[in-house]
Amino acid sequence: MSVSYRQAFVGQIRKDLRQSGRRLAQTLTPLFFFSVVIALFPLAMTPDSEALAKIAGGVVWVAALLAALLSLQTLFRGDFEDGSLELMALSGVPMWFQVIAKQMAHWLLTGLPLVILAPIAAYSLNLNGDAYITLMMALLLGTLVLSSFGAIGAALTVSVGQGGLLFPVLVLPLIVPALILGAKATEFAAQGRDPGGALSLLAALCILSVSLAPFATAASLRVSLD
Amino acid sequence: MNTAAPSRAHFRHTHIKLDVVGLECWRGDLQLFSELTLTTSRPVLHICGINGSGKTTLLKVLSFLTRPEQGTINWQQAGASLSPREATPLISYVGHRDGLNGVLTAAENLEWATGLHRRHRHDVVQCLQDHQLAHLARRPVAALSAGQRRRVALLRSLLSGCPVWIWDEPYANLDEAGRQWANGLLKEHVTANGLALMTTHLQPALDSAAVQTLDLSS
Repeated sequence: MSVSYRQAFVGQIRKDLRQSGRRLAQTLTPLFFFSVVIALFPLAMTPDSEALAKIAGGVVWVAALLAALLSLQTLFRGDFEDGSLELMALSGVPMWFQVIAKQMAHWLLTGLPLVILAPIAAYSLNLNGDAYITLMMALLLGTLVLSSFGAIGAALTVSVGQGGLLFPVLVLPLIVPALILGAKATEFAAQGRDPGGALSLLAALCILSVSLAPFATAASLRVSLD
Repeated sequence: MNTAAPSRAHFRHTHIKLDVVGLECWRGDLQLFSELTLTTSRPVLHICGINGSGKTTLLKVLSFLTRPEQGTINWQQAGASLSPREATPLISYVGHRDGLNGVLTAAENLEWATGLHRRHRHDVVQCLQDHQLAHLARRPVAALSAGQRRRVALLRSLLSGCPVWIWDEPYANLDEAGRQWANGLLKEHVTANGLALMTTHLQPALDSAAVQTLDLSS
């Protein structure tokens, strides 16, 4: 009996996109959260545009990271609770391959919209005009790192009920380097310095996480099913 | 009653057999069973036993979802032993958690699950029709009754084309007509030379020559 990897991959992405499309309120929560955090900062600190410009890059990054974390926690929860995960483990397609499909669907629904929203958020915080491209490039790489490392944490905590605190404790140490590099790159660009170094390191981190994390995630899912 | 699709009428699986030696399983600090040895000799293995005797655990162990404390599980096809990696794609599992996503329709759920096992797009809607479930195809699974959900989940085994069906309490939530319907699926599977492992409190209403019973309580 033969199975088509491509068909299984596309099928998994289609399933996740469909299901998110029918639960729009839940799907849009991270983006709403992101927008609210950005909108609250000037209210709580200062409406002074000079002062805001200094912290704009960092604020956008922290908000994006928290928004992504919010949605990542439940990446495998639904599939675990309804038994789909058992079917995935018993299929002819390797688990890591299906994990990549799920990550990709998640990124399309959370990471990509964040990258697109980021310039608007940065504009409202008066980020220096030279830094927009860098911000978007860094977020593009950064959200991929978040999705990959976050998936490991989501897989490990999927059977721990509401798992509340455990997930951020596991995942934060892994994704803080991406936050530092991304925020630094944005800051350098805003100051008119060359962000190339920080961006290159972030790209390296992105390649590392995207290529290796699915294997760790697949192994974690197996442990959670046991 | 059960009109198999014409394409499946002459379909036969390669004979598959399960050989288990000295299996021992624990849940927490409770020993469920030990020294369990079993060889399938008939197309349907009926596993019975009181609540908590380890029926579900045994099914999970046999499908490599859970690891046993001790013992070997050997799936054989046409005389050759299969590694776990080779054996798992041959198993269609329907457990307590039925693997159906509530917001997707029955047809969408079955399409996804079928894609995990076979290359050729089987006509899911046709299969639902052939088994008197056409009216459920376009409804979200969350809107189905427990019995209807179970029927959709059981039909997944047929669509998967797997030679081994592992069913955990397939008759739960099914009415008399539903049980007969499920038995019809099983008969179709047995005719196609398939193997079925199932736990249930009821005696499956099949030809007794086809059923082998394993009692975990003893």
